Amino acid sequence: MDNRQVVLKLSDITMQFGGVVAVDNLNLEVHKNEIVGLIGPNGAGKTTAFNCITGVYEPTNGAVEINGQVVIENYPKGKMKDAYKGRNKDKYTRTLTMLPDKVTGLGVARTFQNIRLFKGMTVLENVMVAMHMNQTESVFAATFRTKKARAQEKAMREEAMELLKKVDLYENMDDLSTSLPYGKQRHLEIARALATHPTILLLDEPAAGMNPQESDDLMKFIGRIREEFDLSILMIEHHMQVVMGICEHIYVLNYGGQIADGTPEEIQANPAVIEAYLGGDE
Amino acid sequence: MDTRLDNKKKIALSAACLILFMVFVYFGDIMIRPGSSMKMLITVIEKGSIFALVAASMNLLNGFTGLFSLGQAGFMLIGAYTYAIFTIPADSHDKVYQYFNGGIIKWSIVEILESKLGLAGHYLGMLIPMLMAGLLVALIGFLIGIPVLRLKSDYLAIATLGFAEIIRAFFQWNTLGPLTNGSNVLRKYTTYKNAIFPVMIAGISIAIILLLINSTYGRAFRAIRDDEIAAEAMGINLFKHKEMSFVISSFFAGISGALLAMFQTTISATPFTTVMTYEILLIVVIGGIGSITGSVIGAFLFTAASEWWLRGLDAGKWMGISSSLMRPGFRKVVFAILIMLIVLFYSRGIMGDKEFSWDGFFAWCKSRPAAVKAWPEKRKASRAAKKEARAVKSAAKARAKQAKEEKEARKSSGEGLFTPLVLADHVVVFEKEGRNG
Repeated sequence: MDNRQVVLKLSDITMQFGGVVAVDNLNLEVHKNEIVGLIGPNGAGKTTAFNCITGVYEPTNGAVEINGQVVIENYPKGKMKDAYKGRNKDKYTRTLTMLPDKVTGLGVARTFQNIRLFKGMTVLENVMVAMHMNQTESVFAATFRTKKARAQEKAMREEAMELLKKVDLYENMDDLSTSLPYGKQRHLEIARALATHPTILLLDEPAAGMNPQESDDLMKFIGRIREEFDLSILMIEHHMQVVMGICEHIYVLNYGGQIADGTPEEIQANPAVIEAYLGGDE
Repeated sequence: MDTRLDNKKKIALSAACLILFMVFVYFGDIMIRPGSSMKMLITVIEKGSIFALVAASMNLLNGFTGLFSLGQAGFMLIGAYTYAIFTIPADSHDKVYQYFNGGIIKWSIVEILESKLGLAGHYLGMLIPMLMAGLLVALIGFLIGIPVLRLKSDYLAIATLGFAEIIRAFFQWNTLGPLTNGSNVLRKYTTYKNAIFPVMIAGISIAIILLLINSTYGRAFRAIRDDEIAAEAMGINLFKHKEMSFVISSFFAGISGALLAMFQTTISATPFTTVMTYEILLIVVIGGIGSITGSVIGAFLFTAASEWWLRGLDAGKWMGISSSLMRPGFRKVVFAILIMLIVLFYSRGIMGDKEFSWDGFFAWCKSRPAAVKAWPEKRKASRAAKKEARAVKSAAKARAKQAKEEKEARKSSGEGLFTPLVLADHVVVFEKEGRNG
């Protein structure tokens, strides 16, 4: 077994909307410096799982642990108490919630399935927005440009430029973010996530809409940033070429439920996975 | 060819323009005799600068943070009252508060400071109540913001509009009479003597708003405007930043309210209705949502049009035209039509979301001769295009007519009545494939 430190752990995460169980009892572990894939057919609940980790949704049941510390936990209560269809109903007793910005503050950054860049801003500004979180000056100091605030602004700008150099966007620094070609927009989204100084990076379909050549480049890019920024990565992806190429461990979801997990080789040979993707015998 | 100026030159140029403008306003106000038409220009500059400030504060919310708030008139009202209440001279209290036994505040900050510090005290006595007005409005904005900022878009607009109306009703409440004079006007409070005062205060305030927008907090505000979900995922605390923007905007609305009180010399709660908020919103839209320069230009244009250029429409004679249509209120009709035209055909406003810059200004000036020279060509081209479009259209019409005639002819000759049914020439039968294993 993998004896590296566990940085992200989901235990029994269940997300139920009304009568629909979108994620059913998901257990998942991401170790330090590991690239983990989360796959499954459309509507399997992958993005919902992401939203539970990042605090966008409050899971109906289960717990999320980041760097060994439980930060999100919930159990079915109120209306859900009777409507709950999942398992482990009485295992959890606390309610811990966290807003998305706090989760990001803990070092978990994410990208989005449909690119969500700040449209009215330049490439450089997009990255600098992500650094706002880590600056310490008050709004008065920032407005009246105290010496410290100016120094911090300058440091921020330099760091952003440095980061853009690393992701090959330095030449496009002053372009509007939406004027970039599609592939570069994806890169910028990842760069923006990196600017929050994460230790865990969640990528939601980074290769969506890319041709084989572009997804090949993306694979190399993801591998490179993992080394350079010392990251652990959890990614949702549909391109099997990408997933099988770089993931060390893969979890497979279908209809919310977890149907398999293992190394790429194990997953490729798993009959349950083949059935979920290709349809099995009647 | 690079025509960019270095920063020092730009700053010098801006400073020179501003000083020239200030000198013009200062001496203009002293030298021009009241009653002359040039005096109108000074009035427009005074009122325009006040509205420029409140429009900029509204733009900070609407254009830069993406919060559609309509509470600005209510906040101005609080600012105006706060300033007026604390600066009514002691011996005028009995006259102003004649229905409320001279009110409860029997002193004026201006008088107290003036007696101790002289002329400096006089101005300090005006600045302190103004600052108090701003801070009080900021506090009220903070309190209103806590419940209201959880709402989004239209709902937020309705809630803030409601609060503004509540504030207005509250200030007219008779029980508060000793403080606010109920529904009677407040008057005789200290006002400025020269038009340069509101211009300077508004200028400094707008400069602060601009500095804020260009700081890291301003970037966070714009991120929230562009995409709330992404901004939150980038570690920006949505509520904290929205509240911050709301409070700062309220502060400057309060300051502009105090300036408006000084400009009008009397103040009552009645004119601070939703109509006033819409006027401010209009300035923001005309100037361009997301451009402070646009708000300033829009404010001056709006004030000049409503106070000066279109005045004649109410008086019966405008630009040499007289008509029985032009009676009080007609100005508003014309204004409404103008606004509709702007929103329909020019919805990005004068500046869009761009700001003024010397580089842009010089580039624009330089491109003018070429643009003028190219104009006849352009017109010719557009005419030709139009002609072509017309020709295409008429050709299509002719074709349609011909087709219709042919059809009619066929019908009358009985041709279409017996067209044979089209039969499929072969049929494919899908069989279920057998499965092996």
